[in-house]
Amino acid sequence: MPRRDAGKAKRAPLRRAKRAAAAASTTSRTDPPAGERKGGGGASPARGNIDEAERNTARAKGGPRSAAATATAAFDASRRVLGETLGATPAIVIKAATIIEEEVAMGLGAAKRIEQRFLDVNALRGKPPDAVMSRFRRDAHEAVDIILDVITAAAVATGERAGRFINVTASRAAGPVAADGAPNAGLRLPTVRVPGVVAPGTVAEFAMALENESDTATVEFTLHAGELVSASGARIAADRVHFEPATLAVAPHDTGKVTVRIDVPAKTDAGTYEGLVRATQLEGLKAVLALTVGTG
Amino acid sequence: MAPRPAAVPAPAREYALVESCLAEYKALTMSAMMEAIPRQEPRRYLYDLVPLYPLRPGTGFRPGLLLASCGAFGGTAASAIHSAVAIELFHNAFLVHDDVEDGSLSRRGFPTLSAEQGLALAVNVGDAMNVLSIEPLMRNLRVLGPQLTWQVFVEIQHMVRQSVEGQAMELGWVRDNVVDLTDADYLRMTLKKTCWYTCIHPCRIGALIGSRGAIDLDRFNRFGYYMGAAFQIQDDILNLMADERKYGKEIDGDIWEGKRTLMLIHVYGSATPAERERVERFLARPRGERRERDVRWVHALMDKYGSLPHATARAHELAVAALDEFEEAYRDAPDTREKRFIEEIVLYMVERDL
Repeated sequence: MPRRDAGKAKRAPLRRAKRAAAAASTTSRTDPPAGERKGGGGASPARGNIDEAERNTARAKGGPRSAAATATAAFDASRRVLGETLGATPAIVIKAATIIEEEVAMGLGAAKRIEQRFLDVNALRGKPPDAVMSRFRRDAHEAVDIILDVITAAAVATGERAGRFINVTASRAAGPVAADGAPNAGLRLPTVRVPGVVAPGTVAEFAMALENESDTATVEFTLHAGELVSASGARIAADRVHFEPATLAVAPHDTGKVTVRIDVPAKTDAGTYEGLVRATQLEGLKAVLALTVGTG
Repeated sequence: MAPRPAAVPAPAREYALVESCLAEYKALTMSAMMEAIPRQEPRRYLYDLVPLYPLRPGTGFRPGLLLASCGAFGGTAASAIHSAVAIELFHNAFLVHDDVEDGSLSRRGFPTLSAEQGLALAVNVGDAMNVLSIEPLMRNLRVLGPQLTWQVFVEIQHMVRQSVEGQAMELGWVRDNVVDLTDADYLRMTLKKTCWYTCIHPCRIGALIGSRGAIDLDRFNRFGYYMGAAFQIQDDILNLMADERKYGKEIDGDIWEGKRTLMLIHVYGSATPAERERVERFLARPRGERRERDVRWVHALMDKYGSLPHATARAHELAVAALDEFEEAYRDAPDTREKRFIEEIVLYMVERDL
């Protein structure tokens, strides 16, 4: 069978797992910092040794417990025993964390391709939605309405799914095409959104897929980001955004995976921050990187 | 031969909540599923055979997780039941086809459909289950509206595709007698073959419906993966050491079939060169030409090298990691019976004996 490279692609989750394990060793009786677990971060540490009393206290805050409390206590105790038999994050969990990251990143591209077999999102979005609806509804029939609703739903789903998926070669023929399926007219660029809300003082990390649909390999290119700016003018410096690998090439009809890591400063104001991602050597590869920072 | 290492003891625990919830969810799902099976000809050769596997004793993990996940996020069983039926039908179609592909003889305590009805009819029943699973997804349109219906459909499409890819990996390894495998290979195959459709997508779809699409579904990926991998490892262990009457499949069936389990990978990695060569020779033979004494020898070799305790320990590690991820995945779900069921089912999966 083909052997899989245990190199670059696996480093990020491994580091996360080590970081999580380190955090577990110092804060083993508390929850990890929220940001450790946001944005796809936080390969599961074996945090099985959660203090039973703390868990029960937390539950009590949520309201009165049901009659199952006795069984719950027994379950928690057994869980604690199981957790305490383990030390740092087990190797098998680290491997599993790496695999799910890779598969999810690749799956995003596959899902996008499947959905686009059903509808031409670019063409659909190239026209005003109202005009499309009007044209279809001229010969209105209830079934047509339903189909349109499903198409709209599909278009929305495609856009959401494509949020971490960039086509590196679309610009060669017809100008860059947005990751959300929109034609890149004017200033419209694909938007890569960091999942969830990231807390200040934490590191957001997520996988982004770069697809090369052409018949030739890309040249080797290097990704870099500009500073991220919020609507109120607050900024996150460009050197807080890292790509791993920073430099790569994508083979024909292949997909490259890049881990994006954003180190959000502790005193960052809440809000949505956006900045431009570009690539050396590939003029068409541009995207907006969007990050939502919550309150600390 | 060295003394047989003791397996990691599994303390007896009470899972009254898990078992009662599973029974309720299964009853709900079966009732809706029976409605989805046509009452028309050809009955004897098709529609009477479709419910045979679903009606046999089984845990109903998948619809249970889906319905509970929906409830945990505020949804009703009625809103998720069609999706639960679809997943259960897909699951049973997989089982029917698996039994054909593996040449298995018994399933859930009875002869496999292929052993009972012949290969051709069994394959067709599996096909029918796949087709019948589409109708409940179409019925979602009325209950969930177009957007959620489409999203569920996309989830199901991904689930089925991952499952057949994982199955292809496992079957390919057996056919080509690939033995130089690692834990990571096993984990990837298990993710694709089992975890997406057994745990990840049921949780995702349930939460999708329960929250009306308000939740980032990726939060369930790790939880479902770790739980599913622990589940599969436990399933592989049971195949070697369970009470056959309770387990419902032939014991050592995976060795007979040459399945690349974590125990087989471990024993191959631990064995002496001579032992490895014998393992390879055994695996190179078609199932029909394997001898019982060789199957026993492979099992004894696993005992010698502690492959079962090794696998049990890995399953427990993954279960603990799943419990950790549970805190994150269901962090904003209120404390309900459904949420408690999902948390407790993690350990149930690695301590079950059927």
